[in-house]
Amino acid sequence: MKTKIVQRISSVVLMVIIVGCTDLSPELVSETTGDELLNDARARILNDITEAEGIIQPAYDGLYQFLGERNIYALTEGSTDEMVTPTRGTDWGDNGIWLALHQHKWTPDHFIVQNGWDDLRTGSARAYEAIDLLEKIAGDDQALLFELEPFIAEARFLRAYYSWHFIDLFGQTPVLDENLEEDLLQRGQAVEFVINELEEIVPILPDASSSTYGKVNRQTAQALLAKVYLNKHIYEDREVENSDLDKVIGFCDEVITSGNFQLASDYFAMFDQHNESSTETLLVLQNSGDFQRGFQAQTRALMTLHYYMNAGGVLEPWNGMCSTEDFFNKWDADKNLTNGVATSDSRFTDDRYFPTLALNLGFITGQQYKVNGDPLTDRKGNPLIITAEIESITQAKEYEGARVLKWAPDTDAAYQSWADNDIALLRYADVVLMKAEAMWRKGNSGGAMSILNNLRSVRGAANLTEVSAQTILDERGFELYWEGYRRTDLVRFGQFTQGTWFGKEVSAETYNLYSIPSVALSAFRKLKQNPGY
Amino acid sequence: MENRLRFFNPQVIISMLLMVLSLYAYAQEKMVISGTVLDDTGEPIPGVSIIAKGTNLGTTTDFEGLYRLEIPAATQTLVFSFVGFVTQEINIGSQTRIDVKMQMDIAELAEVVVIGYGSIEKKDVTGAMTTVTPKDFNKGVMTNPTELLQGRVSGVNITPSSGEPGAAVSVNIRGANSIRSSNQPLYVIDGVPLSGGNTTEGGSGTGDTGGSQAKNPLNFLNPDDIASIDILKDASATAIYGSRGANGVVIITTKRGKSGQGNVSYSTYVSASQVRKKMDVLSAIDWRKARIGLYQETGNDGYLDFDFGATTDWQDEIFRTAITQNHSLSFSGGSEKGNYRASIGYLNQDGIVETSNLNRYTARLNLSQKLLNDKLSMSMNLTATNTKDRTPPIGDGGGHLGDALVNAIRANPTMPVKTDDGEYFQFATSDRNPVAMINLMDDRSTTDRYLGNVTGDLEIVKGLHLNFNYGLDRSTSTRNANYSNRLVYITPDGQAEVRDLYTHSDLMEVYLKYNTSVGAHSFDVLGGYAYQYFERRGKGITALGYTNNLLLYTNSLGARVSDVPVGLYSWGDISELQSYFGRVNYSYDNKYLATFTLRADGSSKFGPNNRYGIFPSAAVSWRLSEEDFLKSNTTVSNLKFRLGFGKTGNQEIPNYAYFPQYQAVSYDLNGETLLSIRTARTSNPNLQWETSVQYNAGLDFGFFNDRVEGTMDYFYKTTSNLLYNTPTGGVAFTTNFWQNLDTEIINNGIELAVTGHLMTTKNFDWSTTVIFTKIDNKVKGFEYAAIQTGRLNGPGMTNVYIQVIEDGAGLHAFNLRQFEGYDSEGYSIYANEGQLSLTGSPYPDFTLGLSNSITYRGFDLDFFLDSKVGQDVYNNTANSLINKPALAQAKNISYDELYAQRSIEDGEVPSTKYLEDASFLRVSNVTLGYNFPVTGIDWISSAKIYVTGQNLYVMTNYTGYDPEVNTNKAVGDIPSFGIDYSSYPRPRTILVGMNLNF
Repeated sequence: MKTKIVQRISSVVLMVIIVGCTDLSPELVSETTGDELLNDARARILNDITEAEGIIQPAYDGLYQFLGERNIYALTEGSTDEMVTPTRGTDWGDNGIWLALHQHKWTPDHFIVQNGWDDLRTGSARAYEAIDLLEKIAGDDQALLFELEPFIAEARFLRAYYSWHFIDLFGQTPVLDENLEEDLLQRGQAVEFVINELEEIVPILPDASSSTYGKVNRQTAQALLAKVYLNKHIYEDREVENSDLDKVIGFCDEVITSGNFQLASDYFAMFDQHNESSTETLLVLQNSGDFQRGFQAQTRALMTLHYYMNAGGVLEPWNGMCSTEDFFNKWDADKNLTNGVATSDSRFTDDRYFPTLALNLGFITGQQYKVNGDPLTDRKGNPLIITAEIESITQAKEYEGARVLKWAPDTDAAYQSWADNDIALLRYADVVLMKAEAMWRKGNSGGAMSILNNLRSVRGAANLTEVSAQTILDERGFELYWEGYRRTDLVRFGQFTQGTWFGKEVSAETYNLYSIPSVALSAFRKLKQNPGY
Repeated sequence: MENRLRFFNPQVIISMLLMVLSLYAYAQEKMVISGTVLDDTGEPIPGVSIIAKGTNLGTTTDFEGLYRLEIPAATQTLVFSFVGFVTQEINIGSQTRIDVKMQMDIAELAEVVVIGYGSIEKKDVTGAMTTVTPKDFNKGVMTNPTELLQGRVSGVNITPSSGEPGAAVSVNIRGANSIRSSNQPLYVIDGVPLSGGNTTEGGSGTGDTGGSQAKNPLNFLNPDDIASIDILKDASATAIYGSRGANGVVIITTKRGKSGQGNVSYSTYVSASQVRKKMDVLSAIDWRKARIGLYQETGNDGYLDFDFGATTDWQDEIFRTAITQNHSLSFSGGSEKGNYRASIGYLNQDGIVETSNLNRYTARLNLSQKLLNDKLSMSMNLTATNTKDRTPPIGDGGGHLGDALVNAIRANPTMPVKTDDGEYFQFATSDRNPVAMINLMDDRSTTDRYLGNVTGDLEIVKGLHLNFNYGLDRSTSTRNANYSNRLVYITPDGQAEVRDLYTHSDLMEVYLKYNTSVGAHSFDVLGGYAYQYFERRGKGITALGYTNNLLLYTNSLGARVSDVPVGLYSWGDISELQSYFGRVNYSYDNKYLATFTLRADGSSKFGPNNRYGIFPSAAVSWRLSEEDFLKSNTTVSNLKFRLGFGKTGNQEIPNYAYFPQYQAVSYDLNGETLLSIRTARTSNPNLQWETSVQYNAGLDFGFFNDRVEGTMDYFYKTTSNLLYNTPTGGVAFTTNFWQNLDTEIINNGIELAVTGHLMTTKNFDWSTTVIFTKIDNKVKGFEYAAIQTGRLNGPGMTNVYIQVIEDGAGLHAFNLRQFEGYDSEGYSIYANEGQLSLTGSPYPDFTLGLSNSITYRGFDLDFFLDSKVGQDVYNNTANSLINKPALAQAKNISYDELYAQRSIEDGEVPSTKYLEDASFLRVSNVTLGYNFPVTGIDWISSAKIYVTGQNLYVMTNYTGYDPEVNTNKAVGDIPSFGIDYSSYPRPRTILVGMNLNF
């Protein structure tokens, strides 16, 4: 009897357990499977092919990583003579990252080196992902795939752009293989990969005249090809060859003769809040002061201005980055520059915003003012007189260092850190300068000089009377300062490690490449640390 | 012969004489004595024997503890006795009602402890565990159960994140075992394991004040409802909870009614709290003098500026004397067939920073009933809580602009709080007025939580029981934060945030228990199935552009003027856990005990390849004191040796971490919306349980009839297969992916708890307990780049990390420059050209606790001293705020910095200068109580008043507000430990309370 009861109850228990059993696959709440999303995207694209723009937008979004002051931008400018971030009392110590960067003493653990690496691999991954998504969406549909080719080509350009930065900054270039598994290209292989990619997509990409503002076009790819060829000998660790230079001149000419671009008549208008109509934009990251898209664009103003240079209380600047005195003095060896005098070069300074914001554009030194015209004082109550000279890189005064305000602050933005200024990453003037440099390198100084003087006259600067490596490098500085080109240029002219400027001695050749971050080395074992680190 | 002898036995004769006498007395004059007998917790004791001394007249108490006895009027003394209690003799005098409170006889006490899915006698325990009952709880303002235990249990390190009412608490049982955030134990309340997640949203840190941690999710339990807390420490004890037991298990059992007389109990207290210590920053007068000094030194008359003429002590402006009141009312009762207890509680706790407050209502109902000829017993536990928090803008970090506390420390003391026209004085967006911050920001959370379960126990045949347990846990919470338009740094215009969080879990358990004895062998066998379901959902709104001065924008979210889109989010996730478990307790002859458990857990968090984890354990113990060679020993009263081994698991990672996840994403480009798809997670189908293997050796001892008793344990715990969201290095669709690392975290340590019952006389009782813990911690086989954590905040400290997890070091080792003093010009000097090196640990070398309990007649005195030795705390507050260069920028500094031979241009570099020895000795808890004699008042059974002081005195060299501090400085999901930044100070509290039982 008892046994029966036990049996019965046990079977009830067993039933409860079996019925209660779950396969442990609960419902997905805010997540979805890839297939659902792909099917949805395919339907939208079949209905309207421009929906593919959305799919590749994440790859464009990677370009925003070129904006922040602690990201790739710092790797391209902060280690050069154009930009220094001295420690100012309690400010900008940041555990020594700025000094290490400027003095070429970074280590594999350096925060910005790590950041830059991560930003590039994220951008590259977004490009790979966009290509993969479009290919999956097309599937076996060859007609659709053909229609999607231009969009895929945009993503391939962006992948090449991120990869070129790997080549330029780090040498080793991480990629994905055909199975989308992590792989690595050595510097030379990566150059080949990037050139092949770019040359393949040039015919697929639309001419700039028929492409939308902000999108990659044929000339964008040609400009990048010129850039890669101009630096190819550095990447391959050899002397420059005429074949490279011919390629540079050829691609530059393609851009120049396309007729889509011309040197801007108003230099600072190219960096203004509403600069969509710039005639020099080849590759751009678009910002908006009304939407989150513009997030951080004001950084370019905030990072340099003194705390109290706040455009009438709109900004909360950080008093950080400034020019070295060496670079500042290149504009005029007499050192008698104050705001807006002693040089006719329109690139040096501009006072269009002074009446409203009490801020000059370009290089800023001297007494600073409030919007109401009263002189400003610093945090200690001294008159705020910005000096180009910085006495000590480790103990700088808050007023030391010439400020560089290239991108006018957007005082209409919804947040003070947002701004409408679009930021050009490849600019037509660079193409012109690359052509001049290639000609000079081939021995055609006259041709180079006429290009340079044409540029200088547009900018209101006096004509050059001779062309040398130094004048070409300097001209690139005058034209492109703080736009993220400087390190590459200094390396190409052999001055990055060998040159000295405020706060920086001659450094070892090792520093021509950044170190591979420790975290990446330990996570991706194919990587090897660059020699010397 | 024998009979004669018996007859002439003096005792018999005396008894007979007494009988005669008493008959005589009875015939002459009788009297009736009645009363109640209670135990020391105020509960009635049935069956107590009461005898008129010198007679055979006597009776026993009924189920309600009541007795009535007729005795000769000449009787002078009554004798009360009961097994397990100290026998008492009471002088009758002229009393007719005598209520007695029986004291437990410690030597005879058979303590029952709660283990998972059952309870056993303490003597039969084979694992390492500690039981804490209300008499050993910390007294005073206690917002949640973890505070009751702080410092009281060896091997358990409880560190509050701050002194804010209801603040999050870090509880580490036997060290930190994981590199991720989840080192917290599993909490089981009346048989329902909690999900462990937060039930309120943390602060978002709008306005650069730094986000703040969510409040302690255990705030929903009223400490007055807790009957006992059992802490399972070693793996042999926790393995029955398998997958979730790796960080220890805390079992909380709530009070139930007892059969016998009904009881109504009311307790209340009122307390006043103040900040224990202020930062020693300059007064307005001295600040002015110091600035004039700078002018005289440098000739720079700019130093004469920024004197706004007022005299403000900003710390006084934001701190207050905070009043807390608490009321708990319960009634309970029962019969042999069932019992009930219902309680309600109210707590209104003001924080010592203006506006901060916690307001809580709790209700609980516990019921039990026996049915079917006592074959079936059913129980129900239900609690419902409403908690309202108001949080001041004091966050975990924030940038150089800082939160209210940062600004209270560094604000220029010559600034006025308000201008003459009554508006807050706000000089610049970067020089904030902390009083304005506190009053012009309104951040409140409301949380409702319900936890309930129904259990049943059916005896099928003798010894075989079928049990079931169905539980549910729901919470809903809303956080409304408003940032006023009137705060100059809130731009553009006012902002509002609403954040909702909903959590839900269900539990279903069915298990069979069988116990039997065969000769000297006894078995207790358990086997069962459990299923748990966890769901969390959240949603929120961020809106800006409020131009009105009414602060509560969240009451009318639509009333805004802005083009900026409203920020919206929502999310949700669900996970499941399914388990099969079994346990065998075996004992032979009461001397040799063994426990074997096995639990198989399946979790939806892991992929099909490794979804199930198997967690076995085994423990044996030997009661040496039951052996013949010790049984008659008068010195050794108890001696038990325990050995245990077990494997437990940890699955506290995001749901579906094994699963490839795609997200629909949208981009706004110049007002146009673009849709795309992103890989949100790289799949790892091989993801599996993080496992801990723990060995434990322990000794329980008692000497001199347990006058000295204690426990000593040594453990060695290895956690492997560490779950880590590993960074990818090359191009990969996600920046991280979850994997199990072939790395070990090793914790080993010693725990000791000794109690001495120094005096146990009738009127004077004194016992003292010492606890000691020493734990070492090490990371082994970590082949990746050091993981950086411990992010500092403040000017010049952006992206500065000072703690690392790296191979061969202890968890959270500090990685800093070595400060060597100042050079002749007043600039800091660092060793090795400022190279970083590992130095110091945030974990103590050892911890000590000393508690004393003294009873003298109606008085009782408890005091508790708490000490941790050898831990370092990084004083981020001093590093970034209280430093000399700040004076030049018209900010306040400390007197120490003012007098330091330091340049006002010296940089503020993180270094060992700010790594401080945070060893301390705290007079943590002192309570003096008085029990009123209530004999003769028949409507009251006990009345006690008491005074408690909390955190009365701290002996330490640490210069911050409090050495026990843990500001959340996590980087990603890697926690930090032992960093102090603008942490809400822990108050000193004086409390007056009263407990009444009717």
